[in-house]
Amino acid sequence: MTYDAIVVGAGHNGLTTACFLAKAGLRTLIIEKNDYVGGAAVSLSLTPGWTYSNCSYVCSLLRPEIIRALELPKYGLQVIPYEGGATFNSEGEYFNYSSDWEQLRREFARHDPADAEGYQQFSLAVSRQCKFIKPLLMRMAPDPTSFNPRDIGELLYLGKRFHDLGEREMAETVRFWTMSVAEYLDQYIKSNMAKAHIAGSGIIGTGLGPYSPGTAYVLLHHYMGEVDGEIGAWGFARGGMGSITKAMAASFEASGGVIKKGSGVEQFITRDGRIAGVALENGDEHYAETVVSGMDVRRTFLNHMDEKELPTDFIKGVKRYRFRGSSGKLNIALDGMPTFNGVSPTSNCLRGDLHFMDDMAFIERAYDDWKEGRWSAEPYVDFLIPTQIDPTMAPPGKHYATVFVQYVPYELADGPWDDEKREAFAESVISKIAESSPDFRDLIVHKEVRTPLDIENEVGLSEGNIFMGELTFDQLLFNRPVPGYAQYRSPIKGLYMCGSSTHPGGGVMGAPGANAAREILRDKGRKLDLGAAA
Amino acid sequence: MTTGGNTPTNADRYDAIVIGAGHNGLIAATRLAKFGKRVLVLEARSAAGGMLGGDRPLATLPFGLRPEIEAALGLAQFGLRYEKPLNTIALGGAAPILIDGAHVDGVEKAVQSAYGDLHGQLTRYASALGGMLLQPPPRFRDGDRQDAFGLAKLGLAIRGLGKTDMRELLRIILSNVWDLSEDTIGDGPLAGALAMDATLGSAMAPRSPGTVLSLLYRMAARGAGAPGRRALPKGGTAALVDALTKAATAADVEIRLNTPVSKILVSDKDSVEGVTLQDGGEARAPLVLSNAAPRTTLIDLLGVDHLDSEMVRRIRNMATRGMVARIDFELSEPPDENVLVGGNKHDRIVIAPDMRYVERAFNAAKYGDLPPRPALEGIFSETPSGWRFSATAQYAPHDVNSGWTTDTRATLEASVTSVLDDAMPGFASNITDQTLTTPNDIEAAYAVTGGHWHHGELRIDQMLMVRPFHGASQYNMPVNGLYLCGAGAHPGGDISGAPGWNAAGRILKERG
Repeated sequence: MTYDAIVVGAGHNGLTTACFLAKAGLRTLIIEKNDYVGGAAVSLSLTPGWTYSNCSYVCSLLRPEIIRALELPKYGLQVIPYEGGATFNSEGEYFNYSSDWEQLRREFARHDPADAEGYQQFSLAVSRQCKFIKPLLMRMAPDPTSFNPRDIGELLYLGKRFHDLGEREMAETVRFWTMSVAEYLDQYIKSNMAKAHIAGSGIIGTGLGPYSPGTAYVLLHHYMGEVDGEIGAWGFARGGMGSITKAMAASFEASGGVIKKGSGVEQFITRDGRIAGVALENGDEHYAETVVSGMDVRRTFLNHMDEKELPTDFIKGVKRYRFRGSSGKLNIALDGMPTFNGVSPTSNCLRGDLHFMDDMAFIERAYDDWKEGRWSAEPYVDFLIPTQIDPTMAPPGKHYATVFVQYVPYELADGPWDDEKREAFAESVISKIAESSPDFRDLIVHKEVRTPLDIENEVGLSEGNIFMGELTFDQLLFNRPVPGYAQYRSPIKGLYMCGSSTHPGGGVMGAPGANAAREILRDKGRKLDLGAAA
Repeated sequence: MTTGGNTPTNADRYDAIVIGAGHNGLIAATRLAKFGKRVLVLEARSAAGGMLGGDRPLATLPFGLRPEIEAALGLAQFGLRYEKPLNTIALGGAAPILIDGAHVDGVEKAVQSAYGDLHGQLTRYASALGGMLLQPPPRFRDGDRQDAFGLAKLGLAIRGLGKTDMRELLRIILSNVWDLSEDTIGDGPLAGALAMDATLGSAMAPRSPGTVLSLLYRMAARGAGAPGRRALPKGGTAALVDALTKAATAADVEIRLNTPVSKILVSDKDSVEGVTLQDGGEARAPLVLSNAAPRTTLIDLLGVDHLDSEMVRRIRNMATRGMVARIDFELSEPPDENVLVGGNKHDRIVIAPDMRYVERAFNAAKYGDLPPRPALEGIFSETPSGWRFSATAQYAPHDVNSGWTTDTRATLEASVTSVLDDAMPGFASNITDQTLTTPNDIEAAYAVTGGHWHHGELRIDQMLMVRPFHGASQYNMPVNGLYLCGAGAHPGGDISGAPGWNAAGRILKERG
């Protein structure tokens, strides 16, 4: 059967691209290797009665333009902001984050009198930077080596926006984009716990420690989202992260799109140097003059294409592109709500992200283990219990805990991952949490342990990198994924890339998918319809 | 040259006063004096030359002065000559290797050729960016025509590399030397030596993003005219200081040694008027150039009363954590020819068996501990009584957790000695004496905050128009008539002479 366009991979970016293509009237087919859609934004039931957001687990970055244009709320998406967050240290003290500004100021002041003011200054700096970056997310990254009028136009636009910041803010931008998150926070905040609480955003999903230059940008990457217009806020998708991709799939099908699940792509079919279609693992073949890969660059070009068909500089760039998975995850079914040292069970701080550490050096030490090919003996943990807010994910009175872990190597120094090692890794995480939550361990009724290798095997993210490639400068903007190929077009005519390996990168954002759709439609002489939101 | 004691009791009037007779201070002073200014250089120490000067100079392995500056000051005429560029002997790995510019001996053929390509590539990038070194950092905004011209020139230099090189430069420029080596030469003693070049004197390790930029900064040097190389002056660093001092004196610069400055004098119109001296004297001039570190200059010598609170915050937040210690070992015997693998006795020695080794040394130091196995750079030299090996050890944190007590010092000395003895068997038994200079000692001796070699980290957030920080770039300090002329100013540290030269150029442009 012949389509106008085939999208490979029903992750959130593949779905986003496909939705926009279908809305533009293209007969569009999505190929998904798993029996369910969603990629890394899924809700799975692995033990009766519980639903796990077993990969990505919180929502903020999904572009509001996309939510509106694809009418995702109409198809069931509801994002509920969470209210707090806390960091517990080894001495039984805690730092209580709150979405209530006054309460938050008091908490900062409780830890250090100067920090209420310091945090305010920090927040202002962050929001100025977010304001600068946001309009860049839904644009193509211009190629600075090109003399193409569009590239020059986009560069001028960037230059003008940068120029308009004023000198002081320009200097601040250079600092924010290049400094370490630790040093950046040191400028504003004194309390070690408060700094550690915030610094986590600078290293989540990243093979860098908080002392590494470049991590302040990663923090920004996590702050440029919003929930219902509240900048930097994070929330839960009701029913788990799968609700996002289910709504996208429904929107896609409502536009006439077709999804084929259960068999992945074996090979991209080319004819006379241009794309012709895809051959699936089950032997089916589908044809279209436009094919879009939602997979990362390594899988797309090294695993499912013949290298000989691609230019050598491109292949070199793809081989060099860095994944270096560094994140693991535990999904845990709990028999009841655990208690935490010194905190009332009804405190709003528990309805947010919980961490267990003393200071930023704690996170850095966790990183040192990863560099040596070991999982962190004392891991950084991003722990949430969404069922306090969204009771649909567990039976009444029971809870679901999502435990994101940094740092876990894809390859261990002492040989391959096995069940024993996975269990030992899980134990390091559970015992870290149990230090601050004595009843946590006994409440566990089921757990799923996911190493970067598991994430690669199940979801298809190479080396388990949650962003489909590191967010370091050599892999951002016009360098993502490969210099000269950063505008969603691959070297093969008609074959496009729409995954998080492309600008602006990972997170459940949808911007790469929407940008890819815009470029595809542009090549067909069409415009991307973002509706009134545009 | 006078040597203290005869300080004026009342105001002597000069056109300009330079605080500090480091190489940058001397160069700035000489450039101004050659233009007809009456210049006084005040040096707290008993010898000129800053880190190059004294009996036991800190900068034993200088990256060469910019040839343009040497020519303009006529240093050759004052006796400056260079030895041929230094080779690097990398020890501590399975087998020693010898690095001579783009050529390396002792590694596999494939690595040899990959290194040749990498060296060529980095040299091209460094020379494209090197054009920035001898001009004030262009401002992006609110600048004048020269700033716009500077930016355009930089843009053209990068464009001029051609599409392939430009793409690659823009990819790696903020990246780390770890990834760069992994993609080209692989890890090993060669990568270890490259990582040392990229991290020397800074609080960064091979995996730290930004280390390619610091490597390119180094590669922009032209020792004895050879791109990316270091070369020793004939007669050692003392000969360089001697030539700089003679050039200054010949231009009628007055240099006073043993004359520490206590305060920079400021009029009620926020303009500098001169300086007061620690011995109670004064010297007056409408221009003051400071070769001291930014924080020393602004907080200690100028004083926070003259600064707004945001400026004070920026000064305090400047990254200036010194991470290197120096140990000079006096030796009874010359170096063993066998360990020098065909290099010569005066070549540079690096002990960093691979990048991981350097990274691990930093692991300890970033938390304020001493690494059990420090990474080393060093050089042998002859002394009147025998031989000396001057070792630079990283990383040794300024703010070491245990404090720089006798025990801490002994621990560091022991670990450095043991690393050296492993790489050069018999080394330890030849030691007759040793002198340790910690970052704290460096801070006290040279008035550099944190004991930082470069007066502040050489990172993109402290480079170009944000060096030392926003609001104090282009050599102008917040008070009228006060200029920064040391390594804290653009382009930064090492022995390039560019900050001093550029600061004087700035003054001449502004004031004629």
